[in-house]
Amino acid sequence: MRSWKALLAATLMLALAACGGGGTAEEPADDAPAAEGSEAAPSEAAGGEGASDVRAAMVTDVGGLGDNSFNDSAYAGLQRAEEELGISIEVLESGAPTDYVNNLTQLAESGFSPVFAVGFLMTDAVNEVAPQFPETQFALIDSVAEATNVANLLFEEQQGSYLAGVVAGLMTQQDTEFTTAEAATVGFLGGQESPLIRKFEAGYAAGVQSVCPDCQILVEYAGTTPEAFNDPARGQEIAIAQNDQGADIIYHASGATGNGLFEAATDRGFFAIGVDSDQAAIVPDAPILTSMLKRVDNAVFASVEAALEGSFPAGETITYGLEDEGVDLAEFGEFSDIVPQEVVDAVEEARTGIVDGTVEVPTEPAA
Amino acid sequence: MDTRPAEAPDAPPPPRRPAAEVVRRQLGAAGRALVFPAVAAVLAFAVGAVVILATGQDVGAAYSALFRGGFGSAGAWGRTLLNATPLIFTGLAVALPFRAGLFNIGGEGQLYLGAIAAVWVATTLGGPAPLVVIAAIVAAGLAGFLWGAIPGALKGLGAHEVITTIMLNFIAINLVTWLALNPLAGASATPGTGSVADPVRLARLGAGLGRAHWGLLLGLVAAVIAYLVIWRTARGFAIRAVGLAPEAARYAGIPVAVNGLLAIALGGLFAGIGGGIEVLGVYGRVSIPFVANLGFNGIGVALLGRNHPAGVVLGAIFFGGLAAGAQEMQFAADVPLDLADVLLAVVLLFVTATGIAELLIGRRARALVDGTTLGRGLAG
Repeated sequence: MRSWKALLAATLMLALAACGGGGTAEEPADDAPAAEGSEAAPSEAAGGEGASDVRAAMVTDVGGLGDNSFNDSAYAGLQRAEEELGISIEVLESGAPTDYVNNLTQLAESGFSPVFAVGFLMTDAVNEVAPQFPETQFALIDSVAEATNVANLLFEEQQGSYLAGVVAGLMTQQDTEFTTAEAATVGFLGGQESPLIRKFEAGYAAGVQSVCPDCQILVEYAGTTPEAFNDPARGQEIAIAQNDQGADIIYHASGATGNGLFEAATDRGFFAIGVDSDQAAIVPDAPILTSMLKRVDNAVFASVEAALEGSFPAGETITYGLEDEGVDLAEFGEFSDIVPQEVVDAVEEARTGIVDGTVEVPTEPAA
Repeated sequence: MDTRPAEAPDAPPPPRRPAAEVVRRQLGAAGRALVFPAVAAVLAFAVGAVVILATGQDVGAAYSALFRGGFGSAGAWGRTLLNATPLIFTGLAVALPFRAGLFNIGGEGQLYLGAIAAVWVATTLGGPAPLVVIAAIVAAGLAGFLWGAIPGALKGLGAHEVITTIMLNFIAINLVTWLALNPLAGASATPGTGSVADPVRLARLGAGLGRAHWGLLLGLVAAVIAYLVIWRTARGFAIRAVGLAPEAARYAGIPVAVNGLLAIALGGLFAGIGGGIEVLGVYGRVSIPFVANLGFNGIGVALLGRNHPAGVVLGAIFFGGLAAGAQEMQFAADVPLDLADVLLAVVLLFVTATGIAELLIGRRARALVDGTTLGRGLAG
């Protein structure tokens, strides 16, 4: 009994000591916030110069920052707006779905506008919060909300995928280190089977067929649940199976599942095409020919700019396509030597055609 | 203190123990039961301070934001209680089977099934709204109960409940995902079921408590019921006997397998109701992906609450407050959200580590801080 109390006392002492330690050690840390403060000062000054008291903010979905995907991309756009437009910014991460409403509410109450809700998972939350703050401008990425003060930002993923398809359809007919001219076969690896990902598939298939009507297109989805975006083992399995059937270029729209494709492509020496960001820069060892870029950052930046000009597209649904650099195709980078000029020309031709409307890209795959 | 035999609940109180003395003893027992979790929390905050310092932030600003965001205003309490509500249920889902010596890791799956059952009933059943709400909650509890009964029954056949409950989580989550995307799919822009009509939702508490809803009161009622079942019924006595000494219980004629099955199924019942209430009170539908980790966090809540219903309620409020405070900390002090997870992890580490210390000291000291003493004190 007594020894138990002694232990308790010792534990308490330890706790106090630890607290005391924390207290005294606090002083050196004071530098850090100060340094941060001085860092923040110029941007505030810039805000003064640019005559902008706009404070823009974003809420991540549960994926959070560091997802190498749309949350990071949206944040990059916000940071660019901070630097170039002199606004002040805030980002709140969400730990759980209940945080969506709380975070959006907190930012709106604190006077932030526009407030970006990143990802379709936040649709319900935006529908709930936006009507309560009619003076605040909200922007919802990848989905559509009902309120009149919400700008809905969508992307023409099929357009960028079409360009990826043009590249794949032409390159699979070439003899290179990674492709053979014989089997004109390409692959598509989708994440969760859903209307969104079918947009990628539809554009890609149309692009391939536009330059290679005889090409065979192998299509496989990793699954029907959100887990399908986070299953590299399944991605690798599908990529190997498609490669066995002759596919020497595989395009993926499958989030982290695509890491399995990159693994297989590296092992077996065939081309992969990345998605969302320039994945060749993120996975430099894999033979990633190019990537279909989804420029959430550009959409965020453009929306902040519009807010500054008083033309924020509240209540509207804006689709960002090739025309306004909402989607794009990444540079060929280290493979630019083996990509013939005719491929580059064909991509440009397709891009022009899509922008001026002579090429129509489907959003649903042909049955 | 353990030399006196425990009196039966209906035995006349001996003259040496007037009412005031009983109350004093009970409070003392409750206080002692809270000592180790409190010490663990203090230690965790000390460790957290070091982490905050290491990332170059201001500890004072961070912790004042954490407290303000969790408990500093009615709105903060609203967020805390909103977070705590499902955790009360998932905490009970662990605490109750624990009394039978069983570790229910299956709260996550049981909660999912409860949620989908509630949505199914609430979107298909017609009639007066209050009756539909009751039917939906009953369906949620039933789904959880049946799902919990499976590992309970398998336990009787020799399959360890930790393994089976973990595995059944995968089955339940994927089953619910399939149900929500196929037979029960709604027309919403985001994948998942259709939405429950407004009259069938649980009303908010009001009083400036934001989105906190009546599910909280149901959680408190559930905790009281769990307490009464465990410490005031013959069934509860049998369950505790099985948990404390299965061989002795068997010798006394208490069927071990049946009581174990019942305990884990009752745990599933609570988790299922928690899922149903989360749907009726917060989201109105099961979206895919649905909420994550409420079931698993229930394990932490139960550990922190020493597997006592009262402790579970406090643990859930602690967890909920930390999550709410972490949001404010991120907003006002730029401390990353992950710090709250670090704090929780360290708290649990210390709670379980002090458990190890108790084992080293011996059973008597352990019994002092164990919830069983608290329960016996209240019952006596």
